[in-house]
Amino acid sequence: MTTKRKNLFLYLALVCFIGLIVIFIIDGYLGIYDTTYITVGEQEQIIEPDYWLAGHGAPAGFELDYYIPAQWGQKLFFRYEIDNHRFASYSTLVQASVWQENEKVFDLFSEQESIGSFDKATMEWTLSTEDLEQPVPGTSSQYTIKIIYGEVARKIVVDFYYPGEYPVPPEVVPVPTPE
Amino acid sequence: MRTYILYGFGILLCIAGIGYLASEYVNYISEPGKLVCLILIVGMLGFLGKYFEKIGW
Repeated sequence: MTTKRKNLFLYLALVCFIGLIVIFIIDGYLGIYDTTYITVGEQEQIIEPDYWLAGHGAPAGFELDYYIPAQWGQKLFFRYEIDNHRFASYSTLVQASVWQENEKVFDLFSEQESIGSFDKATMEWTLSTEDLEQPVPGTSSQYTIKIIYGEVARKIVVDFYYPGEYPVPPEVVPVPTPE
Repeated sequence: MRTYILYGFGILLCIAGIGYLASEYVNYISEPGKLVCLILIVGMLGFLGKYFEKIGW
């Protein structure tokens, strides 16, 4: 009886350990995850799925967004990856659009994606300032890039700073030398 | 006594190792998942403690 009870504790400990491993696999690995790569100038920023899951200080109930500063005239190259860590294939419409003050400015990308089991899909698009309204010199304007797939919506706020153009120096006219 | 200290040290290293590997490779656990993991870890250590107590440690 004592041996049985003694082993019972060991079995229960083993069950807890197996439960931990199962949670690591099911909750920590299985699912749909998206990663965003944004290149501005020569720097690439990566927004891992963990960023959206962790909350990063956003109060409960508030939507989390990601902030990127950029200079007016710079192009933003987006690479968006959706990883399907599931046993079934996943089909969804992926949409990216530019918004300002809660109004859609234009669509950046829209494509129906079908991702196989334990596979990933990669999408690319570019945001150019040529399509946006130029801010007053010395100020900046913010635009929100909304990426939507399934029931998931990601918000990336881009702050374009426009320093203004340097004045063109006047052309130097050579003074004729008196004869 | 020295053996127990060594055992304790070994168990601590094992727990630290599992924790390190989990933090490196398991990135996307949700908040409820973390809570259940914590409960399971407490349960596992508690049951292991009872087991060692029963076998005469």
